[in-house]
Order: sequence, then C-alpha cells, then structure tokens
Amino acid sequence: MKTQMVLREVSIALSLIVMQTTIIPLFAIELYVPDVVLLWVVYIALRFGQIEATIGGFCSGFLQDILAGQLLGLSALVKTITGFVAGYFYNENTFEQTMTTLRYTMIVFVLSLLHNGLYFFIFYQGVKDSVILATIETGGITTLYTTVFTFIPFFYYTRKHRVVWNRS
Amino acid sequence: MLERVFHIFTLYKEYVVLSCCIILSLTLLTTNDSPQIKRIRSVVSVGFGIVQEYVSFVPQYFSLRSENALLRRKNIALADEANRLREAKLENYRLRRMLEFKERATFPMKAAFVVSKDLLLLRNTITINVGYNDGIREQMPVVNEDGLVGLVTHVSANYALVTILLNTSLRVSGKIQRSRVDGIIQWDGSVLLFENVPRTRDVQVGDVIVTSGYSQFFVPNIRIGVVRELGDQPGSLFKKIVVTPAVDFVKLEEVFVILGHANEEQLNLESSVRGVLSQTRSK
Amino acid sequence: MEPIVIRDETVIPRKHRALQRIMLVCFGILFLRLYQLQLLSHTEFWKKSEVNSIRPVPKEAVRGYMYDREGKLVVDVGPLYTITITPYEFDTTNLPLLCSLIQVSKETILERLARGRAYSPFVPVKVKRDVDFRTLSLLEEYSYLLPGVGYEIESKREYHGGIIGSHLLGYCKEVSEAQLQNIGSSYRLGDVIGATGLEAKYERYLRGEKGYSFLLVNSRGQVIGPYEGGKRDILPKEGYDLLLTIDSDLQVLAESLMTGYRGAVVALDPNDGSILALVSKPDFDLRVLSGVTPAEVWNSLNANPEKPLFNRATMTRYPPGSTFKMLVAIAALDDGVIDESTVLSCSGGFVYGNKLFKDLHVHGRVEVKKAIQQSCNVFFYQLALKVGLQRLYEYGKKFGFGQPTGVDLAEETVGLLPSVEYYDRVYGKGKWTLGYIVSLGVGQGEIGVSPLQMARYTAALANGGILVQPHAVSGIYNKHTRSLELIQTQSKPIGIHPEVLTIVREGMRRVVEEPGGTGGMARIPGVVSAGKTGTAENPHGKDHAWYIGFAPFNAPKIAIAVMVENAGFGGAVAAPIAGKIIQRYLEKLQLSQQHTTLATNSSTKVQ
Repeated sequence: MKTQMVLREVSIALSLIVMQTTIIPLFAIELYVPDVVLLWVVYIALRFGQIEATIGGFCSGFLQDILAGQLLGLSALVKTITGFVAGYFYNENTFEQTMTTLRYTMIVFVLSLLHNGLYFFIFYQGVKDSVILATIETGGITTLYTTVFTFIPFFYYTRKHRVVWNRS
Repeated sequence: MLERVFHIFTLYKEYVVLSCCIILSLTLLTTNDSPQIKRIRSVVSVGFGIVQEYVSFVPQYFSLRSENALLRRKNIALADEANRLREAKLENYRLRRMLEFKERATFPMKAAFVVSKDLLLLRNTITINVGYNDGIREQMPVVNEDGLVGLVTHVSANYALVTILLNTSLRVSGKIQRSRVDGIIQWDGSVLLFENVPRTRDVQVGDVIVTSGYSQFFVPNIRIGVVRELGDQPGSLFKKIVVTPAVDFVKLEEVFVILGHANEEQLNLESSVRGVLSQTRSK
Repeated sequence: MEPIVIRDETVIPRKHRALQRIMLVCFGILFLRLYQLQLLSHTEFWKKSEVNSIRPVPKEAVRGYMYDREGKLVVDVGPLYTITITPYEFDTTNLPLLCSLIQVSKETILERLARGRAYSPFVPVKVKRDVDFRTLSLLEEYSYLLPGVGYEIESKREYHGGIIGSHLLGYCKEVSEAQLQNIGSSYRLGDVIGATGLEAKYERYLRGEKGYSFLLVNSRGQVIGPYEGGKRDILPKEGYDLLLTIDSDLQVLAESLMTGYRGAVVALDPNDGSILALVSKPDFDLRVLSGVTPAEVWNSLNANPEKPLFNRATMTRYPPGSTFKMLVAIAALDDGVIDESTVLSCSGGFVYGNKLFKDLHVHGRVEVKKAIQQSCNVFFYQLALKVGLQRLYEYGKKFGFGQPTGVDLAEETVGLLPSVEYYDRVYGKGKWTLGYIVSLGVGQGEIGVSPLQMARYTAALANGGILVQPHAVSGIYNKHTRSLELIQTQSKPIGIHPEVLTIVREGMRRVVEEPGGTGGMARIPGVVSAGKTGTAENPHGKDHAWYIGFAPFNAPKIAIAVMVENAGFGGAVAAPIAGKIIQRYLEKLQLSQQHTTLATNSSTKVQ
C-alpha cells in the first residue's frame, strides 16, 4: 500500500469516526444508532485484506471508545474480530464488483450481525436481566439500520466507476 | 531455528495480529469499572490463577532436561537444595508466626497460600489456593498476622479470588481505635484513604484504624492500618486521611481466611428485630 | 475476467438503478430529518444541547460552626447521606439485598426506579434520605455487589457536649416558597435556611456561599466526567463560625435542673450582657430537626399541648410578681418619695377604694430593706400609689421593660409595661382609678415580662445601674480572611442615684443571706449572693414561680432569672435552681483563675 493511499483511508476513517460520534446519533431511532465505522472496516477488509482490516478495526474501535467513552476497549475488541472475519470475504479481483452490487450490503449485514451481537452481549452483561433477549433486540435493529447505510459507499462506487463487464 | 519461527510467524501473521489486537482490547477492557467487566474479570482471573500455578513448574523441568554434564547437574541440584533449605527455614519461621497468630485469634480460620497477585492495577486481587471444597465462601474476610488483607469475592472449587484492600471496589468500614471515630476505608488507585470523617473529629497522625463493629463481612478489631497524613479538602465536609496499610502486600505469601463469620444470620436477625420494632411502634 | 472501469454512463444494470432510487429516497428522508433537526429546530435544540452538555451541580457550603465561650465545639456539621440508584446501572436481581440493607420496601424502590427511568436512566434517583452511618457502611461494603447504587452527601447539624439548646441555637429548615419571594435570588427551593434562634439571626454569616461543579453530560443524561477536568468548578465558600458567649457546662446544667418543669432560665454576665445560659422547657431534640424531619415529628411537635417549640425564655409575658418590688423601691427612693428609713406599717392587708389587697403575713412596721427581705406586699402597695403610674412607667422603661432587649435571638416579646396611655386606651379616659395600679406595686396585674427582660433587669441591679444588651454571640470568625469580628453591644447607664441602688441591693442580699429572707434556698456556701423571689398570679391555674439573683455580691459575675410555670411560691422551686447554676459558674471561674495564676507563677519561675 502506498503512503498516499494509507493516508486517504485513515482520513476517511477519522472523518467517519467523528461523524459517528457527532452527526450519526442525530439519525438515531429510539436508542438504535447505525455504525458507519463498521462500514469502513468491512470496506478495508474487502479492498486490502485481513490484516489491514484487523488492525484498522482495532484502531478505529479504540478511537471510538475514547470518543464515546462508554466501555473502553469494547469497540476495539469487537471491531478487531469483525475486521478479522471480514477478511475472509477479501478477493483482490472482485472488490469493485462487490462494492457496486448488493453483495456489499449482504456482507455488511452478516458482519454487522456478528459485530452487534458480540458488542451488546458484552455490553449488557450484568446490566439487563435477560442479556440474550436484549442483545437480539438491540443488535438486530442496529444491524438492520446499519445495513441501510451501505447505500453511501454503494452510491459512491456506482457513480464513480461505471462498470462494464468484459466477458472475453 | 529463528528462521523457522519467522516462517511460522509469516504463515500465521493474520492470527498473530488478531491475537495482539484482542489482547490489547481485553487489557483496555479491564481498566473499566462497570458491572459488565466485573463478571468477565472474575472468570479470567481465576483462570489465570490455575494456569499460573501449573506453569510455574515449567522452568524447573527445562533446567533438569538441559544437556548439562552430570557434575554441573549435581551442582545445581545441591545449590537448589541449599536454597530450598533456606527457603524452608524461612517458611518455617513465617508459618510459626502465623501459627501463633492463629492460636491467638478466636475465630476458625483456614490457612492459604497466595498463588498469584496483582499490585499495580486500580483493582488489585490475589488468588489463593483454597476454594469451595475447603469451605471457602464469598464474602469471607482474609487476614494475615499483620492485619486485614481483603475479602473473598469469587470462589471456584479449589481456588478463591481475594479482592484486597488495594482495590477501588473494596470498602471497609473502620474506626480509629483511640477515639472511636467511624469512617470508610477505600483505595483511590494510589493511596489508601479513610473517608467520610467530618473535619471536626478527633484524628491524629499515628492513630491505628481497625475494622468497626458495623461491618457485615469483617469481624471487628482487625488492624487495617495507621494514619499517615492528614489534610484539608477545600469546600468539603470531610478530612483527607491517608492510611498506611498494616499488611505489606508486596511480601504477602500466606494468608488466613476467616471462616463462618455469621453475616447472613446477623442480617436476618436484624431485619426480623427491626420488623418487630416497627410493628410495636405502629401499635 | 477483468473489470474495466470507464467514465461512461451508458451501461448500468436496470436493477441497480431501481436500488439507487430507493436509496436516494431513503437518504432524502434522512436528510430532511437532519435539516429539520439542525435548522428548523435549531434554537430549541441548541438550548437543549447546551443545557444537556454541561450540567451545573450546586455544592452547598459547609455551614459555620459554633463554639462556646471556652472554645469548645458546640454546633458541628456532619454528613447527611442520601442513597441513590442509577437506573441504567442497577441490576434488579439485587433488589432483595438492597431492600434488606436500607430497609425500604421493594415497591417503593421499584416505583422510584420506574419514575427515574422515565426521566433519564442515567440520572441517579434518590431512594432514601438521611441514612445512618451503619447503613452507609454496609452499603459501601456491599457496593461491589450493587452496581448503580451510590450516595449523595449533604450536610446537617450535629451537637456536642450534651447540650440541648433547642431555643437558643435554633434549627434550620428547607426554605419555604413564601420566604423565597422575600429573600432573593441566592436561595433555591430545597435550600436550607436558619429558622429559629441563632441559626436564623446569623443566617447570612453561617450560610456561606454555594459553589458549583460542572459536569459534562451527553444528550441522554449520562455523566461523562467533570467539565474541563473540574478547572471551572466554583468552590463553595464556607460559612463563618460563631463564638458564643454560652458556657456549655452551665447550659447543660441549667437544662438538666429544669428537666420536668415548664419554664425558663436566663443567665447573663452582668458586666457585658453576654448570655451564659438560656433554657426554655419543655424543649425538643434539635437533632430530630437537623436531617430529614418526618411530617409526623413536625406535627407532634406542633400539636404538643406543652408547646415545646415555644421559646419561654424570650416569648412569655408573665407578671414579674415580687421581683418587681426593687423597681418600685428604686422609683420611690430615687424620686425622694421615701428614704432609707421611711417606715410604713403592714397589717396583713391593704384596702384601697372598696378593694382589699392581701399580704401573706403581718409584717408590722417595715422600712424598705426589710420590705424587700420579707417581701412585704402592703409596703409596696402604698409605695406604688406614692410613686404614681407615670413615674413607675418611666422607671420601668429605664430598666428595659416593655421594649425589646435587642438580643441576637430570632424572636422576643416586648412584654407589657402599662402607662397612662395604656389604661386610657383599654378602659377609656377617666374610667380607670388609681386602684388599678396598686397591684403593680407587687408586680401583679396588667404587666408582662419575659425571663430575658428579667435577667437584664437583674444584671442592671447587679452591675450598679447599667442596662446591658443581652447577646449570645461575642464574635464572628471569617475562615477565609482568618479574621475575627467582635460583636459590639450597647450598654447604657440607667441614671439613678448610686445610693438608691446600694439600699436596694442590700435588701436583696438579706433576701438570701439573712434569716427571715424568702430566698434562703438560693444560698451558696462561701459566697455572698443577692436575689429576690416572686410569684406571678395565674388566673388559669397554679401560680408561676420567679427567682432573680446575682453573685458574688460585691463584684457580680453572674445575674440570673429563673421562671417556673405553675410551681407556686418562687422561693421553693426557682431559688434552688438559680443557686446551683450560680454556684457552678463561680466554681468554674475560680478554677480557671487558679489555673491562670498557676500558669503565670510557673512562667515567672522559668524566667
């Protein structure tokens, strides 16, 4: 990866994290807030691979923890794992295709489910009476809402790269 | 050899990175003070305790299996023995002191060894080698011959996790032995404080603090520490009282768990008595 | 299979376009919502977010302490603990444990939790106020099992040295809405304000200034931490301390001597008017009112037929009875109506008009000293007529009757000292006769004084005719500047001939020291003291007993007035109480003098 590219991704990540802690909560439905940083982690995994996504997941999660100030380390842990798992969807050749089809949405959905499941499972320990029920409820709704937000990169890629498939 | 290690590393670099990140995250998580983490922490600590005790033998096996010559091996063995004898002598001394302490004390106690300990965190704990099977239950006080060590907060079959005085989540109600002034002992992460003592109360540097009769976990009159420093807190009702713990946690190796301190019985009795009182009053 | 990226917009799958439109609509909706939030409701949200983001938490200042005249801490400030629960962090499975620890029913806690949760799950809910230290320490020890359970600290008064002082020290109360409208902006609903006694009178010194700490709070009400690390916090300014003139030993003694009686004791230093002890019985435990006062306690205090809240030392107005005779004598002597040797005869009764005024004994021929010593009524009936109402009124005023004493306690009565105008007003001009004032000669009839006024009168008799201003505070200590402001009081000479006072004082000495005096029960071994008994007629029941006195006779250090309701003859009940209080005080003085002489002696030796 070139430095320039790294810088670009980092700046995207930073702005997303700032958005996540400032603007995104305004979109909250009840207490359910979509996670745009997760979209970025998945995107990194699809574009660059597993290790990058793992590290990216950890770093972005850590920053989120610091800014949001709830359970320090929880986002870092969950984003690390999510990044790692997202790495299995990595394929150098199909990145553009993935980003411009519903595949990205599907991947985000699956990973978001994993992400939120883990996150709220830990988050609700010792807080709620029924941890599993609470996890399913909050995790599920947050996942759905996060998935809706995949239209942002989707939109971006379909506009920027008009893709034609050369079948030869 | 190194190459092979490096090779393995490159082969599994994803997993290495993953483990690193996860360990980092978990470390971060343990700095939190929330109900979620308390549950996780107890499981992890007891687990670590078990592993640590077995792992601690490993270096010895390595040294025995090394390719040293017979003489050298013998030398080591002798040195080791001498060491062990010295150790045994010291241990003997310590144990005898503890035995005396146990004889002096009036409540039934169970001796235990410290298997592992944390002293540098905000919430320090020690793991001891007695557990449920030895009659240890949660909320039993732990002492040594110098004074109060802490409170059993988690018990597995053969191990118990003791929350020690140097832990931000442990509170002990204490009193100044001389002037009977009540307060609450609490660790703030760097020093031990005797809190909730109004400024006008009689406290002096050098006063001994012991557990008070108010406690439901701790038997009264266990030594906690000595007042080291007195200060003013502007705008506050309370004195700032810094305490030196009676127990030297760095050297801590053997402890006693005080068994059968009837806290539940006391609780039940009290609530029933209070119930009766309020009934008669309403009549 | 290489995707070729081209900048051409011809080839795009149809289904993508549909999806694109759906998403465009979704995004549009969200954008509109954002627009609404950010622009349309801008001001409203701005306010809200500002309020939400920095939450000022008022910090009550530590109220000033009170020390007695020897520097002993009498009124202290202690913590008042309120147990709180943060609904978000609280695990309801711990409810039984919490209930058993703080003795609050499950339903109450659940109900408070539900209400709190509806407001904000992150804001602590108060579940029990004013818990004792034992409960607090139990909760603290169990705190690792009870996430979300915490406590808030307020302060409340504590009292040391066995002192009751209900009417002297006074109590604090939550400020009422009516008060709030009068006292201005520095008080908020729920603030505490001195309600009676010294607490009320010195409120502006004792209270101090409220501080604020600022907390950073997110939009859901969850506290994130101190704002700017607490650098902007305003520390509360502690209240000033009061140095009292009270001798707490004497106060405790007076309180215990008066136990079982209804009445009052006021002891003054006759030289400067400082109050050594001030007791009103029945009293109440100030500690009951210092924390959270349950309504039933208030109601029982208010409804109590004995009226324990009523300050009998400053608020009662009973006739002074025979203790008033010295005033009549002074008026007569000072005006030259009689002299030291004027003899009047007493046949055990006195008829004026068609009315018989009685006496207890036949005293025969008496002059003024003997009349005081034996409390001869007939002598003073005649004297009152000789002096006349107007002069009697003027002399009464000189000794502070019928006017406030200027004491620094919150409430006092002016009493009643009748004048010509008074009788004209009440009975109509010309419709009253001089017969009305005959009984004034023995302190009965239409006259009312408070024990405090009596003590001041006694002090003036003791100190050679100087009317002092009684006060309970000698100094105010400012902890911030470390300076002591001494309280200035006004003393003024009464302006009577000194020989007159000498005669009257001699009469008073005989009351206690000579056989045949009525105040023998106040005698103190080894000390010459002076006094006068009195009995106030009470149309509603048994008479009220009075005793006033001072000692030592030649250089008085203490002047005292004792009033006991429905106790009959003053010499029997009130005099011994006064005697014991005077004795204790003089013994203490002697002890401290010995100490100082010892100290000076030893220091001279060292030199």
